[in-house]
Amino acid sequence: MSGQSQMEFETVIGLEIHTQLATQSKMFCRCSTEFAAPPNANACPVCMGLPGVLPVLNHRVVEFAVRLGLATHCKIRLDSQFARKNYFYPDLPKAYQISQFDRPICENGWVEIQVDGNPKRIGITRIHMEEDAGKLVHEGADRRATYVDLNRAGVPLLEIVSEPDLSSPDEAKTYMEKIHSLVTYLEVSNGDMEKGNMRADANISLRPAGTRELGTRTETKNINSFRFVREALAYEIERQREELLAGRPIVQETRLWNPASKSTFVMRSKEEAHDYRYFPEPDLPLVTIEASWLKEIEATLPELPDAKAQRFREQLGLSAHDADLLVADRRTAEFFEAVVQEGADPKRAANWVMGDLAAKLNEDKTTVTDLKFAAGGLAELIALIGEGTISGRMAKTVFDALYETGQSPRNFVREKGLSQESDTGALEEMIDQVLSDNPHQVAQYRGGKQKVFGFFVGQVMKASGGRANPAIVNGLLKKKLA
Amino acid sequence: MNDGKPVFSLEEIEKIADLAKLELTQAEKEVFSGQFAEILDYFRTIESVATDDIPAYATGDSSPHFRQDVAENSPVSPESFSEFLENGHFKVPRVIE
Ligand SMILES: [Zn+2]
Repeated sequence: MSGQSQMEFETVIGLEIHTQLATQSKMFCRCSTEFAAPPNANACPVCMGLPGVLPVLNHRVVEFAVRLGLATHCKIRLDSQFARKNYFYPDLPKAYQISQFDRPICENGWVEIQVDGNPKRIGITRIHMEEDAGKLVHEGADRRATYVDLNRAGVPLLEIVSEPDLSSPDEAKTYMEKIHSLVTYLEVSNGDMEKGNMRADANISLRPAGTRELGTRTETKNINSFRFVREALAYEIERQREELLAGRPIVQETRLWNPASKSTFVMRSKEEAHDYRYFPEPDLPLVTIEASWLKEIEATLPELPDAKAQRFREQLGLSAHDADLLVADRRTAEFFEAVVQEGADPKRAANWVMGDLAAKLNEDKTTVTDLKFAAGGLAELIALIGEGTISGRMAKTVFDALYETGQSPRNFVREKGLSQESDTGALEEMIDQVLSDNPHQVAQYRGGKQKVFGFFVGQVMKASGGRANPAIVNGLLKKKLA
Repeated sequence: MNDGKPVFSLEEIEKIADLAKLELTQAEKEVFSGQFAEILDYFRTIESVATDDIPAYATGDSSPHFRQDVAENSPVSPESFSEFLENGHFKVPRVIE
């Protein structure tokens, strides 16, 4: 816990996460969900809200909602209901959003996150299906106009509402990462943060430490990255703390996170829930889910991150920390497993995947699915180190070549003559030469000056052009100097 | 409720107009207040129907009613019905300051 700011108050945070579903078509019409199409290229009478049209629900949307519901231990409602949420804004051509209200598809679930190495359960109040709104552009040619693009209108979303179980910005970030990991494992969302596939609104309140009653909360919107969730919450917590310490009451309001100024500002006075005048959507029947379909969905759930991490710990001997890091991204976890399957030592494989490989991928803003080499390439590199053919330092060069060109590490080492000198006979000759060239240092060492040992190692490495196997050199030197 | 027609206050009209982003004149507010009261009054008639045994929501069709997730181009483009297009965007009065 970070110092004084946490001393007098406890933080209570609940997150509402919107995740865009990885469907081909929109929620209630056949328009494509493709990203970055020309404005209004993916708009039809249904999603443009023209009179006389009727929505027809996309089967996939229900399947995806159930998948996430099952993965988060929710109760699945077999006859959930859509509702109209009424509000007037040009991004919403029907003047209502089709959402769910009192009969959402999933309720009362939980996910587990790690807080300081201990598991903590975060309750899921509900998960419901709803359509996205369009996009407004205010920076057009005419300063008195707003421009509307309805490509996003009607794109399916799941809203995942957590209980107010989160106690710090770090926990909120970990929770958001967990949901991201789940939706990508389940393949219900591409989880592409850059394309706005996941956005969060945070409800935040403070209360005197040790008390139970919730304080007045504010809602912060527009949190669309893991970094922002931490920054926005830290800012808002500090702002509320200063207000409370100054004796000013917290105003219940909606605030907007501005990543550029790293601050939140008031958006509009919070509309009360009844102002949306929710009522059952008369254009859609109840969403009925047959037991057989539910079973079928349950049977096709993939291994989820928690189970995978447990298997990595128990079967591969990884630490909890390494296992959690590896499983966060499904493709990374699968690549790691493939490297191990190719015969690599799990611990070494984990280090390479999370270390050098992750750094390169991060630098190039790419992922393991776009690699120039297969899992076998990395396994080969790890084998070369294990058998002493190359040193740890050489391995970096070999890895760079593997990463840049996909060339087989064994071939690369042979081609460049990089292999480490492990031939005892050859090394012994070099050592004898070094010792006879430096009688003064030999006398010093034998007189008890242990530090000179490093000098001999350095000389042998130099004589070998950096290719001597340091472990063997150490052993031989000790024997000869004894 | 009082004994006569339901009362629909000007404040309520103003709140609804505000939510709907509409600016109403005083005369319009008075007209709407009267009309809204009449509509609400009609609900009293509906309320007198005995509905206790009827579920609150029924479409008469409880079978699943889905479409497959297949994308297709719209047969109707915005150009074919809207004259308020600029570079593919619908152009509307500015909604932020
Ligand atoms: Zn459409």
